[in-house]
Amino acid sequence: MVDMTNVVQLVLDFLSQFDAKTLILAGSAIGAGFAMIAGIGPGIGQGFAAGKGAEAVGKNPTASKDVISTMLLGAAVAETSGILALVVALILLFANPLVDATGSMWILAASGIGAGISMIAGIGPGIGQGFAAGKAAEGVGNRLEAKSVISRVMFLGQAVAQTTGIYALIVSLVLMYANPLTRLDGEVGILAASAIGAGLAMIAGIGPGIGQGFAAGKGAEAVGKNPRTSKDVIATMLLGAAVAETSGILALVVALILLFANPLVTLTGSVWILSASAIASGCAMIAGIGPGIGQGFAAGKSAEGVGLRPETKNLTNRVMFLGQAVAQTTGIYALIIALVLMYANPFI
Amino acid sequence: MSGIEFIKACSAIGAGLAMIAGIGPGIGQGFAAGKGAEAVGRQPEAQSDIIRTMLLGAAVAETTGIYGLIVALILLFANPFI
Repeated sequence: MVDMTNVVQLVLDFLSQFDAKTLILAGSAIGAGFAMIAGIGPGIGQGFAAGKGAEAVGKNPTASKDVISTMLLGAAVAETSGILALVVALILLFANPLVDATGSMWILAASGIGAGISMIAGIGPGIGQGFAAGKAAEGVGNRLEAKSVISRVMFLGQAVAQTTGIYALIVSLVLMYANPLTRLDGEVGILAASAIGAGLAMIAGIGPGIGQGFAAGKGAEAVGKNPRTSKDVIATMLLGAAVAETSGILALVVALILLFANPLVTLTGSVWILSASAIASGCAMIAGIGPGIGQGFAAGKSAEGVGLRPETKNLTNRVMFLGQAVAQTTGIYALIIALVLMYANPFI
Repeated sequence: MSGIEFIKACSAIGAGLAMIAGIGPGIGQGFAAGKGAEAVGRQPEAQSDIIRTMLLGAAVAETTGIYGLIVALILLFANPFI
């Protein structure tokens, strides 16, 4: 066999010339950059709300005050994920808890990067909640007297859409302030890779955030058109959004396994393969973006349908669940691969 | 390579990553501009209200782009690590 140079080993040799503080700060600088990527979400979502608001004001200038207030309230909620990401970036830059933490510098530097990567999930809630704000502003413009029920459904749906952003924040804060990896015995390489893998897994949260936000927007639109059906519309919206949460929860479970019950450090085998498997199991979970968006779309369209014809709600919900179950499959494939990599790795 | 140099190099990468956030406001405000133009075309008499609403909403959509810019500028010009 041709003698080949191990590029990763070269990089690690290069990095090990630095002291612990340098390495952790360098990782934190990259992590802070990653966290800010979340800003994509509120940017798109609030822009959608602005467009829908402008359109609604044009259609019905007399309602402009209420349209604008609904738009701004919804956009304020959609800002949440951007602010959470900013807070994590500022913590990494100005109040970095990793520098003073005890433990391997490799794990701490990787945790800084992982904490930033995790926050990328904020793209989802930002887009979704902004969509809901836009649809609600449109609904208020069309039917001013339904403003309170429209706003209520919007806020309810937006709260659900925030969940995966909160999961990502929790993983990020665990990596920074209560890092369980530094207390584990085992190969440092595997533990550092697990910190990054946990961050990567949380990116799946983009999907439920967008999907549930779509459902919230369609729900707000539906109750605006037909306020009498609000109870049925809200029920369908929440049921559909609950299913759309699945991929976010699966990703959280994989991240928590990597952090708190890591099976890879207990295995004997090539550190390279085990470290790569930790990152790969996080990568696999990113597939959850798809089911999250798709199931949320189904939930939104079902809520719309129930609003138009409440008498068909049982049939509509049945078709929604059936389609959502099919949409979940690729997320399950990803979960299986992640679990195989962790618990039944064929390479070891 | 000294430790300071390495932190500077990684801060440069971080500053670049932070600016990826700009995708969002770009798409969102573009949508707002499109909808605003559509609405003004349909109802020219309401144009001042439409433009005001569009700009107000677009200003809100700008915020996360500004956060990204601030973090990038901190990393470049006021780096607390060096």
